[in-house]
Amino acid sequence: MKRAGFAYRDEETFLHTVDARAKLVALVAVSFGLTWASAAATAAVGIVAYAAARSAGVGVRELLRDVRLVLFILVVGTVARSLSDPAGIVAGAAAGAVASGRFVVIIALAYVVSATTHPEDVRLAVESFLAPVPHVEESDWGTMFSTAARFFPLVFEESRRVREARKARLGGERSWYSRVRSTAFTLLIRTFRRADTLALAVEARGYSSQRTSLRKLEWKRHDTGMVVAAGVVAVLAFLF
Amino acid sequence: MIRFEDVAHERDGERALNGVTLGIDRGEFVLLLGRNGSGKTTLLRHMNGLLVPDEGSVLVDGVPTEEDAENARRCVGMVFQDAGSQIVAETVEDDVAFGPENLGLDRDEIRERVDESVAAVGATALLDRSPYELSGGELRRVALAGVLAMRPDVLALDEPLADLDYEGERAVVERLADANRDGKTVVVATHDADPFVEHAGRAVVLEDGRVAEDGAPDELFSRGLEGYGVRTPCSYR
Repeated sequence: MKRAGFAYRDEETFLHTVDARAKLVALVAVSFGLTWASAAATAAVGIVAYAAARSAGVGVRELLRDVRLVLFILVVGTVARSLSDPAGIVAGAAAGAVASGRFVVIIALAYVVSATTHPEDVRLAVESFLAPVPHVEESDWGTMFSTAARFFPLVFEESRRVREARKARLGGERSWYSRVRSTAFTLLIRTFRRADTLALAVEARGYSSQRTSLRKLEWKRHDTGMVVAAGVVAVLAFLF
Repeated sequence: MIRFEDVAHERDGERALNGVTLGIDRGEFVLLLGRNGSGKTTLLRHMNGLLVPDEGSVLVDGVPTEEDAENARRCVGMVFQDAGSQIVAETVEDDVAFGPENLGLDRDEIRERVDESVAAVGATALLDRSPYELSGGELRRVALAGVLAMRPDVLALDEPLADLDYEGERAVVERLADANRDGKTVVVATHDADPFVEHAGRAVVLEDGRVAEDGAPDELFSRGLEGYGVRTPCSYR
């Protein structure tokens, strides 16, 4: 079966050795800095994201393929912005392109984090962030995140099954609109059913909020370095 | 070990179980037989506390499941018909560790149980693999390992041979027979008794949510169960 987009890859790159908490903090910091970044700063952070992706063994082509739907939405958004901007088409298109560029860089960074971070480590990181928050059951939230990570690929799998079942019965001959409408409805129902079964599976396997873990997060010196570097990038992106 | 006392359960306005009284003792290997909709899956889910009776009670180790569902889940490990839907984690190792983690065990104990249970189902080589990459047979073995890692007293399996090829079937049946020899109670809901019949000591036939037949497989299959939609195993024809 094809690897799902954003799935973890079991490799041994430097980014794989960085603590999940450091990567998540770095991602949030850089994303925050990018929110106000100029076109030049966005491009510079984009180059950093590209280098990070290459060093993590993530190919640009596969990244673009996996996020093509988001890219399509961003293109539509940019066109809409250029047509509706009171400053004119060119100014609107430029502003839209910069805004979309920021999103693309953030998505690329998130993809790299996702590809290099073991899903259980994400759970432990979420639990560790939430542990100091009063009245929050951090274990439940952590499990929710990791279960959601398992659920999204299931939705893609269901979507593929529905499409193939339709194709097998000449569904491809119908109009584009009709295909999307009927597929979406079937997919919605099947997705709810899969969600039910997944919840049942979690329950059947004795889910407890007092859950322990096979894995353990260990903060090292290079994790601090990663957070500091991300902080510097975020500040520079914000200032320029 | 497990006791159903006049259990009734309604599903979608129909009685899926209707006055079931049944006892399963420690160490038994029981086949649950019957046509589609006869109540096999509903019965299994009552053992694990996923469903609770509308009437009557289900006791696991003497404790009613509606009072302590956690106890039922610790005692009865359940493998669903669609093994893939039972996988809750991104790697085989994490998935098998999920149950022991929920038992609150320490890291060394979890590691020991994961290694032991994947070895028991011959899935050690799959530990680092993603569930998306596994075949139907591999998924079923991983689902079984996930349940074995919780070291339950009872293994309850719903159509465990669905979608498996001959080799996959043999592997699963052998693992269940091994578990039964090791003292575990095994309850298998199936359409096809043939692969299990030499290991099972008892067969229970459900019809319209009631226990229609209950006895030794030899005795029941010699009489023939086609009237209940159950195919007679080759060795009895």
